[in-house]
Amino acid sequence: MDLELHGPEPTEDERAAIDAAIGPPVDDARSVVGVAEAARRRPLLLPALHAAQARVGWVSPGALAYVSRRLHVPPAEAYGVASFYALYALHPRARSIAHVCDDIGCKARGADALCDELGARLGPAGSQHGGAGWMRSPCLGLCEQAPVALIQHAGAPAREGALGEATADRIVQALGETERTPEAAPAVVHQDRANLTLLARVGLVDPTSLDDYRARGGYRVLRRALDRGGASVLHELTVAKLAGAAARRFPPRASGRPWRRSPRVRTTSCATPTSPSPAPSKTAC
Amino acid sequence: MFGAGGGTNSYREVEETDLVVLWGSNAREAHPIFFHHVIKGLRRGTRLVVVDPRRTPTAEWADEWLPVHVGADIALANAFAHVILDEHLENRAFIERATVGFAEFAAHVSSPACSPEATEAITGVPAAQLRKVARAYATADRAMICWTLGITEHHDAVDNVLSLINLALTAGQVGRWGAGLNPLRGQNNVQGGGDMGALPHKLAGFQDVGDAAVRARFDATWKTTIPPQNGWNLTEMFLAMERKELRGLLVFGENPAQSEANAGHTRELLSDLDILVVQDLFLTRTAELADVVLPGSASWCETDGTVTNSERRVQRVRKAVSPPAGARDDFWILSELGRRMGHDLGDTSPEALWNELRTLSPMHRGMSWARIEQLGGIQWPCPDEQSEGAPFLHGRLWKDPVEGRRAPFTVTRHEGPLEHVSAEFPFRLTTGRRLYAYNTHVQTQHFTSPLHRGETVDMFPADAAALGLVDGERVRVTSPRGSVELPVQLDPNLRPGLVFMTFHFLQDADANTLTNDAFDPKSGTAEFKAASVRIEKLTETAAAEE
Ligand code: FES
Repeated sequence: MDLELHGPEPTEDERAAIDAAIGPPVDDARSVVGVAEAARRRPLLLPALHAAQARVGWVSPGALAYVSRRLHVPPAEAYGVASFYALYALHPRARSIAHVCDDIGCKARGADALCDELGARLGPAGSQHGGAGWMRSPCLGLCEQAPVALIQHAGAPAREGALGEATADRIVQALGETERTPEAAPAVVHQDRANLTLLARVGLVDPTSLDDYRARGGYRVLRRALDRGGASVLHELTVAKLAGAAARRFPPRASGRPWRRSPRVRTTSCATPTSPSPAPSKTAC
Repeated sequence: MFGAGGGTNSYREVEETDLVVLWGSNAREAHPIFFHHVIKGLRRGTRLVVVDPRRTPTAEWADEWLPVHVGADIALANAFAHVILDEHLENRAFIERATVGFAEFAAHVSSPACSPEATEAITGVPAAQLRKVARAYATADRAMICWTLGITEHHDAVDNVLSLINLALTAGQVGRWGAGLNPLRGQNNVQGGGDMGALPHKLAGFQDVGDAAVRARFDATWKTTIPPQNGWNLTEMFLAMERKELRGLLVFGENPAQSEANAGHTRELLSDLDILVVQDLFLTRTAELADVVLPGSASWCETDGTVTNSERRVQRVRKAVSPPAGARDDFWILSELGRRMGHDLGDTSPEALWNELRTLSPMHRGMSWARIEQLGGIQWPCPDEQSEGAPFLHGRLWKDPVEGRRAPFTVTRHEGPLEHVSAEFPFRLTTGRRLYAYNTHVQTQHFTSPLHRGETVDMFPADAAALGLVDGERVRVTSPRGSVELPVQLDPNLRPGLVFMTFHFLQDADANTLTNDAFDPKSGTAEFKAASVRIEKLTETAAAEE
């Protein structure tokens, strides 16, 4: 495609990081990239943006333009993707950053207190000191280990790891240790399983097997919903005090009017997409 | 195509075909509306092949770009056909039923001298790539070839087109939904001009001037006698001016003083006429030379009538505003000229003229203004009021037995551009257009855009480096006909030895001072696409004098 890109160029660091992720450019003055070839390159968009950010801590306009040019993704589309995910930064920010989840699962297990303490020790969310900073984050997909923080150190090599059952001490310590890869969170198998509802199957079910999931009671609620019928389910949604992502889909209705059947309603949605990174997928919902 | 002067397919078919070959067409820039339909097709899986010496913005959308050398299209098409026959991919049943002249054609292109391997040096296209593309074209369910001036602005233009027709006939890729041959038109109504008989050898509806029965019908309606011989085409008119045979000229919305090849010579001829009358919206370079300038009207908003687009669709245009004071409706001017020269043209209201056309042109007979409006335009042929027009032409070739005339193969031979590159003129100059300007830029210069970058001569970076030139440096470009001075622009999408200019920016440099006015005797189109030039660094003093 004939993208016309005018504007900033990537730095040498950014170019090297992106090339390492998607391969060096081939310019034999004879190659063209049509729609089919561009479609084959399209899946490299997230890894390329990731590589740029991992190296310098953010996705600069120059890096974004270079990724667009290399992958033949229109810049508006690349910008749309980069600005959609909370983990990508489109403005310069600290090279060491803690993304502290304050979404519903973590909130239920002390995320607010954790954020308050970080605020007191490191300054308000979004601030940075000496190349380190912290910010609030939507769900990181590790809800069963709540509260969770994802630590990223940009550089070559970049270091990244998630802290489960995070504390302010561990977060501050991990931010300071720029030469160490933060310890990835171990899979947590909660002892107080009896108190868990959504996350009760974490660590027990093989996430790649539907049969395993069903054998441990998966889809029981769906079956019940189908038995009761659409009207009854919509009534439940109307009277329930939904929170989190579900509430965004079914906001409580002041008018008391029930939700109507919509072909676009999806039944499983527990997490806002935040992380394009291959975060451990252990959510149980 | 085969007697009917129009593309065989519709825009919808471009969106639904399996393979589009754009041959000598930078449609992305020069035919942006048409290319819009191409993009729709690409999004749903159509493959695109672009044949062009330059890696144009169009080529950058292609799955395969065949970097043909300027003027090697016939050699390439013959090698293309060679592959189809060599690999037994031709459509035998179609060839036998619907065509004539195959044996002679096959004998010619099957010779080892026509193979992609043997012609690689002439065409510049790697043999393996050509084989791959030829295979894809011949085996596609539906494929179409579209072309523009890269095919027709050569001294052997007609043979170029015939070579492409040979390919469609060999593979049976014509006469079906999504399969066909399409010259793209550069303006909203180039097709309409041809439809109405604005051609030296055709009357309205592409009926031959030489056909006495046709002439008799027109004579009866027009109460006059139409001369039986063909008129002059534009190129022949200039030759007649040279011979001082043609002494008066009425120019109707054209700007030949700028758009013709070897423009310096063209301007001399125009200045030498006894009378030159120019009817135009603007005081163009041609109008500046005129004895009389008649301000006309803008046909797309100041008049009622019809236009015909590249897919043969006749559409209504409606008067939205009146021409400014002093400007007149074009047809009013023409009929008034007629009246004052002693010919009463009768009722010249647009609808009355259209209905007269319907009595004379069988392909338009079913198109009343009411039906054109009701159907959202009608694609000719539309022979009666039951017909809804034809999305594609030549379905007759698939009838068994074939209806009408069989389609002829033609043996064509590679000659290459008339003007060779030489030690004195070592670069091949080809010309074209840019998206943000239109032809001689008379109209597009009236709005400002950061993308109006002015005229440049574009060169391959290594060529420029060899001459010690840097991006933006002013140079002198000289062909056997003249010289211009302008900045050089480095363009890695060219290739060594090839330089490129447009002719949009007359105030910067007039490219047609350089182009070759050698023309195809069969079509009258000049060889704009291939001249030879030399490029010189301006010395310090010359640069300082500027
Ligand atoms: S809610 Fe915090 S990780 Fe999911």
